[in-house]
Amino acid sequence: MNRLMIWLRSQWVPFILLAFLGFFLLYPIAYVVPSATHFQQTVLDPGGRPILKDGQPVREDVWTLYFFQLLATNPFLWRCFINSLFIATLTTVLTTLLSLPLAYWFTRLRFPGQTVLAGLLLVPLILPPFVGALGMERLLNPYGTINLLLMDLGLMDPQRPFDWLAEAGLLGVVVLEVLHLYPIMYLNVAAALANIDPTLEDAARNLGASEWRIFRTVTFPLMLPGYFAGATLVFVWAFTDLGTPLIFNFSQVLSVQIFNQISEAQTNPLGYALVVTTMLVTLTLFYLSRLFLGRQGQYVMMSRGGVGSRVQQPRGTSLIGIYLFVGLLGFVSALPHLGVVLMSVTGRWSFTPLPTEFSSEAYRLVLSERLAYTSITNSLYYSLASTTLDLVLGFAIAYWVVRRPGRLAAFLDGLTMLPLALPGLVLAFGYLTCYSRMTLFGWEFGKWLDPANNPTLLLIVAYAVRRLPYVARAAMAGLMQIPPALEEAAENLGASPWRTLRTVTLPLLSASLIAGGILAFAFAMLEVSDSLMLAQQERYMPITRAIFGFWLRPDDGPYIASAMGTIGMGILVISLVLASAVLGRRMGELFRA
Amino acid sequence: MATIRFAEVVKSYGATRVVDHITLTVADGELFFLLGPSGCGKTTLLRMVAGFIDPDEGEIYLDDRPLKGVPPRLRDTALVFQNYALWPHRSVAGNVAYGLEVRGWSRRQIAEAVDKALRMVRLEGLADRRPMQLSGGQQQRVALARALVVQPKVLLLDEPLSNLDARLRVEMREEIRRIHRETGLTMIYVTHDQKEAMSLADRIAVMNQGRIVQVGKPREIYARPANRFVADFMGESNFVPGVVREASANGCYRVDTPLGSLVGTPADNDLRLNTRVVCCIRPEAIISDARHGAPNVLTVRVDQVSFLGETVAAKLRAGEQTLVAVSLFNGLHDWRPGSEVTVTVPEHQVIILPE
Amino acid sequence: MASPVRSVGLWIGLAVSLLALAGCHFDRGEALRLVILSPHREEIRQEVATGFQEWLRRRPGYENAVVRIEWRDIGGGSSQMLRYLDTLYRVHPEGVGIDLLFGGGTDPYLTLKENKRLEAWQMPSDLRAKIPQNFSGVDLYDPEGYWHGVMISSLVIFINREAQNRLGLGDWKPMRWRDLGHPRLQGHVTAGDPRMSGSVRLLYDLILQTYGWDEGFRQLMRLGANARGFARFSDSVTKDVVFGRAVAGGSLDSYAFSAITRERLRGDSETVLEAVFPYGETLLNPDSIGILKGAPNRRLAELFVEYNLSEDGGQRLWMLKPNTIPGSPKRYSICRLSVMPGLYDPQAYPPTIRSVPINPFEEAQVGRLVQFNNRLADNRRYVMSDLFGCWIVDTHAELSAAWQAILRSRSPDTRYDPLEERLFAPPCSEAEAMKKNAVLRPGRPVERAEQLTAWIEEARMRYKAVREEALARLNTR
Repeated sequence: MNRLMIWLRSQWVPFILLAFLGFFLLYPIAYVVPSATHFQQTVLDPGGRPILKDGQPVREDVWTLYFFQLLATNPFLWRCFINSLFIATLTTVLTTLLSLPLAYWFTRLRFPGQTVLAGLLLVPLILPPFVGALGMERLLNPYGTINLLLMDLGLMDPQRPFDWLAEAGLLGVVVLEVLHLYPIMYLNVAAALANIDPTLEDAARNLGASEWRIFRTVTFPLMLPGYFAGATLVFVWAFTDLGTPLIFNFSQVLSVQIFNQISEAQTNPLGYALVVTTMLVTLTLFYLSRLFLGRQGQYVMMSRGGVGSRVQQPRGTSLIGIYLFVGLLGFVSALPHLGVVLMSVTGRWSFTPLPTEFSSEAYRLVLSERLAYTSITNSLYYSLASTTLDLVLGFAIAYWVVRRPGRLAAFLDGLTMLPLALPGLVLAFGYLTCYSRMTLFGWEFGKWLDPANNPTLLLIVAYAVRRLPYVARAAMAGLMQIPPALEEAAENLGASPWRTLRTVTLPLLSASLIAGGILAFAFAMLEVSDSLMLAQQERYMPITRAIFGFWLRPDDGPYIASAMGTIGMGILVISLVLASAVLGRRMGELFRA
Repeated sequence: MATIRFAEVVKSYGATRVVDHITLTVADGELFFLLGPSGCGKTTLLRMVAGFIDPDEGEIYLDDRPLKGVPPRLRDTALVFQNYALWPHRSVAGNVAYGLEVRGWSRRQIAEAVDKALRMVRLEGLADRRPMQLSGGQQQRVALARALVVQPKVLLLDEPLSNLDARLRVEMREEIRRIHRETGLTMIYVTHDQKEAMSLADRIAVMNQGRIVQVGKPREIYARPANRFVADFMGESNFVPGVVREASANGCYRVDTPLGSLVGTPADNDLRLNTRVVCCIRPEAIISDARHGAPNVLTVRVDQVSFLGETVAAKLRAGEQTLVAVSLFNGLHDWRPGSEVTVTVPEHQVIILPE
Repeated sequence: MASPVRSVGLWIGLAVSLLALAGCHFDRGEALRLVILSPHREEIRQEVATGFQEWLRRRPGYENAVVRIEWRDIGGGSSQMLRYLDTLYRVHPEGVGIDLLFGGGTDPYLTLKENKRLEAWQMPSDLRAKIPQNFSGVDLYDPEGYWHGVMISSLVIFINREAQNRLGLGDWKPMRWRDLGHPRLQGHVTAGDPRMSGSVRLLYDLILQTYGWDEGFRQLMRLGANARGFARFSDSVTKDVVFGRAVAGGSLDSYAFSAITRERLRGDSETVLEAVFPYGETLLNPDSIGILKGAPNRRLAELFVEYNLSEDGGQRLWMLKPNTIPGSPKRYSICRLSVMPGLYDPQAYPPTIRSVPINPFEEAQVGRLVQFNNRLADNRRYVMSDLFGCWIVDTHAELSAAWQAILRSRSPDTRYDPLEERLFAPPCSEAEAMKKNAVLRPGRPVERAEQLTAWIEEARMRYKAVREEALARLNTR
C-alpha cells in the first residue's frame, strides 16, 4: 500500500491519467473530426452502375468539406440546427427567468416551509426528461387528461381537441427541458448568490442606491460567474438532449438527426459532420464564457460578514405570491412524474382524465420480463462500476491538481473538465465508431471495445468520463479545504504515506467523495445518449434504453416503461436524499461548471 | 450639522434582547464611540442608524427628524464596514465613485471628487487598481474614501480597524483622527478595543448585554468606572472584595478587605455602610513606597516580575489575594521574586464599586 | 459517521465484488450461441427462444442443449438493419459474426441475396409438402433456398372508433387505402417514416403499386398532408391509434390484432379498436428468415430456420393463443399468420384457440388481395424512402400548412381543385425515380445529399407557393 502511495505521488500518475483521458476522451473526438471529411465512394460506370471487381463494388477515397456546407445549404438540416439552437437558447432564458427569483427568495428571505419547498424544487432532477416526456404523453393526448379537463370546463370544443404533441413539438420539448433543467440553474444561481457577501449590497444601499440599481451594479455582476456556469450546463444539455425530442417525435433537431445517422456511420460522413458541428458550438460557448469570466476574474469573496446580514421575512401578499409561484412550479414540474407513476399503476385508462381502473400488473411484468429486470441490474452494475472508476480517477486527479499544481496539473484539470462542454451524444458517437477496428500488433483488441459486441466496458467508461468533472470537482473542493499541514503533521509524527491517506486525508475527504460518488451514480442511472447509442443488445441494455424499448411497444409497453421509470425514480430519490444528507447546503456546488 | 438621538430603542431577535431601551444623544461633530464586548448590541445599534435593521420599539432621530421608515439609501449615513465591503468587480475609483453615480453627479464632478477623496486618504495613484490588489490598510482607506466622498451627515464606522495588524491600526487611528478634524463630521465608531476608544473618542458609551452601562469622556470612564464590568473592560484591574465600615475624610470610606483595611473613593456617592463592595485598584496605582501614617499601606510578597520593555509588571501576593502591579519608573524592577515589600495605594485610586 | 474510511472501503469492496459478479456480462462458454439480427418484438423473441430450445432438445444429440440467442437490435426497422449489414459487410466481407436475419418482410432478403450475403438451405421434404412455394403470385420462400417466409404479414387500416366518434367523424367508413387521404381526416391520421421502418415502406409501396405511380404518389402525399406527424417506428403508428392520438393509420396486421386482443383482455365488451383489410388492396407478404453469409454457427442457424417453419415449432407459435395446446406460446398472443395452410384447418385448430380471425388463403378467393411485386419494391427502396422522406416527412410542416390553407379556402363540396392538384402532383415520373435509385444507394453520399437538398428545396417552394395562393383565395372570398 505504501508503494501504492509512493507511486501515486510519482510523476507517472498524471501521465497514466492523461493516457486514460487521451484514449477515452481525446481519441474518439480525434476520430470523429477527420471522418466528417473523408469517405469511400463507390465508383460508377458511365451508365450509373457500380463497377464491380471480384463481385464487390470498387471504391475510391474522397476528401471533402461538403458535409459541413450541407448544413447551411440543405434547408432541412439548417432548420434542425436552428431548432436545436432555439431550444437551447429558449431553455436557457426560461430557466434563468425561473431561477433568478427562486434563488433570490431562497437565499435572501426566511419564511416558514422554506426547506420543504426548496426540496420540492429539486424534484425534476430525479427523472431523465425523456421519461418525463413519456409521462406527459398521456396527459397531452388529444383526448388526454389536460384536454378532457379543458373540455369539461367548456374551454375546448370536444370535436376539435388541440393535438399538443403534434402541434407543440418544439415548444413541448422546450417546456420539458425547462422543467427538468431549472433546478440546475437554480442551484448554480443560488450558490452564487449565497456566496456574495451581503455587506457588499449593504454598502451600496448605504450609499443611496435603489434595490434595482444594487441588483444591476453589484449583485448581478458578482453572481455572473456562477450564473454562466449554470447557463452553460443548461445550454449544452438542452442543445444536445436526445431522449426528449425522440419521445415527442420531434425529429427536426440535430441530436435526432445524429441518432438517425448511426446506421450509415460507415458510409456517410454526414453524421460525423453534424457531431463535429455540435461539438464546435458547445466548445465555442464554453470557451467564450471562460474568456469572458477570465477577463472579469473569478471573485474570491473577501469575507462573509456574518453580522446582521439583512434577512427579510416576507409577509402577506408577497409570501402568498412566493408560495403560489413555487407551488405551481413544483406542481407543473412534478406533472411528468405524476404521469409516469399514474401510467405505471393503470389498469384501464381510455378517454378519461384519470385511470378508471388500477392494477399492479405493470410491476409484475417488470419482475417477469427479462429485459426489464436485467436492465435494472445492468444499470445498477454499470453505475456502480463507473462510480468506482470516477472515485479512483477523481481522487487521483484532484490530488495532483491540488497538491502538485503546475502546467501538467492544469492541463489535466482542463482535460477533466472537457466533458462538461462535450455533449454525451458526441462521445457516444465517437465510441460507437472509433474502437471497433483497432489492432495492436495483430491482436484485434478493438473487438473488446466494440459496442456491437459487448458494450459493458464502453458504457462504464462513457458514464465515468461524462461524470468525472463532478466527482473530480467534489474531490478538489474537499482537498482544498484540507491544509497540507494536516498531512504533514501526520507524516511528521511517523505515519506512512498510506496511513496518512487512510487516517487523515480520506476521512476528511469522505463527505465530498461520497457526495460526488452518489451524484455520479445517480447521473449514470439517468444517462440517455450513451445508453441509447451504445447498448444495442438486449442483455446489455441499461434501464433508460429498456424504458425506451418498452415505450415503443404498442400494448403494454408504455405501462411497463412507466413502472420502470417509477422504479428508477425511487432509486434516484434515495441516492439524492443520501447525497443531500451528506452534503447539506453544499449540494448546489456540485452542479457548477 | 448632525446630531443623533436614540430614544428608548429596543431590538430583539427571538427571545434575546440585543438592544435594550437605549437612550443616547450624539452631538454634532462629535467622534462618539460605542464600546463593548462582542454581542453587546453595539453593531446592531450602528446598523439601525444606517437603516439595515429597524428597531422594534423606540425611535432614532437625525437632527430631530425621526428615521423610522426611511430606507437606508435615503438616510445620508455613510457606513464603513468591518470587512470594508469593497466591490471586487470595480476598481478603486469605481468603488469610490459609486455613491456619486447614484446621486447623479456628472462624470467630471465625480472624477474631481474621487480624486480629492483619494488624496484625502492618501491613495492617489492607486485609482485603477482592483481592491484585491491592495493591502489591508489600503483597502481600509478606500472604504473610508468611499464613505466620505458622498459627504454624509454622519459617518458610521463598524470596527474599521479590527482586520489590521497592530502597527497599521495605530497608523489608521491617526488617519481617522485627522479626517475627523479636517471634516468635522459627526462620527459613530463601534469597537471592542478600549485603547482605540480611549485614544480617539470625544465620548464613549460602554455597552453590555444591550444596555448602556456608562457614557462619558475617556478619562472619566477610566478613572471612575461605574461598575466592575466597566472597570474590567477598560483595562486590567485588581478587584478586592470587602465590606464598607465607615466614612472617612474627603468623601472617602473605609472598607474591610482580606488585605486589611482600605480607604477608597466610591464610584457612586450613594454608598451605604455594611454593604458588600469591591475595591478596584488599577495596576499602575500600586506604588512601591511606604509612607508612614498614610492609609492603604500593604505588605506583600513578590511572586513574579516580568520585564515588558517600557514597563515592568509584578505579581504580588497578600494572603489569598493576588495583585498585579505595573510601573514605569517607580522602582518595581528592583524587586526580586520571593522578597517581601511594602506598597501604597493612594486613596483616590481605590475605587469602591457596588458588588 | 462512525468510520468514513470504512464506508468508502465498503463502497469499493461492493463495486469490486459486483465487478466479479459481472462475469455474467462476458460470455460463458458452454451454451450454444446464435446471433440474430431482428426487428421482431420482445414477445416473439422470448417465445421463439424458449420454443426453439424445447424443440431442439427433442432432436437426437441436442438433449441437454442450452441455447443462448443473442438478439441484435440497432434501434431501427429493417431498412436501418440493411444499411447496418451493408456497412458491416463492407469491412468484413467474409462474415460479420451474425448468423441470421429474422423478420423485416421479404425485400431485404432479395437485396441480400443479390449481393451474395445469404447462405442457401433446402427445406426437408415433409415441410416442402406442407408449405406452398407460391401463393396468389407471391413467393412464400426462395426457390433456391436463400430465404424462407415463416409467417405472413399483412397491412390493415387500424382505427380507433372512440376517437373517430368523438371527433364527429362517425360516418367515415374506410374501405380502401385512399380513404386515409380524405380531407376531413386532416390532422387525425398517423403515418410512419419509410426510412426508419421496412413495414412502413412496404405500405407505401403497396399504395404505389395499387394505384399506379402517379395516382399512388398523389395518395401518399394526401396521406402525408393529413398526418399529424411521422412515427419513428412502425409500432408507434399502432400506438398512436391505441391511445387515440390519431383516428386511423396503416399498421401491420399483427400489431393491430395484438392491440385489439389486449384491449379485449382489459375487459371492454365493445372494443374501441378495429382493423380493416382494404378491399382489393390487401397485401400478403411473407416475413422471412435467412442465414447470413459467414454465419459463425451455421448448423444451429439451419436448425433455427427449420424450427421456425415446422408445424410443431414456429408455425403454432404465431397463430395460437397462449397455453392452449402443445407448441402454443407460453405467454403472449403473437397474432401472426402462418405460412402453412394446414394451420387454418378448423378441425385441427378450432378458431377458439387461434389469436387471428382471418385466413389469408381464403381471402384470396374473396378478392381482397392485391398483386404485389416484391422485386419492384426492393428495386426502388432507396428512391421511395428518400422521395417520401424529402417530399413528405422532412417538409411535413409546410405540406400540411398548405393543405390546411387549401381546405380553409374552399367550400367543403368542391369536386375539382387546381390548387389541390398542384400540391399533390408527383415530384417525378416512375422512370426518373428508378434512375435515381442507383444514386441514392449507400456509397455515393455527396450525390445523395445533393439530390435530397434539391428535393427539399423544390418541395418547400411548391408548398409555400400553393399555401400563399390558397390564402390569397381565402382573402378574395
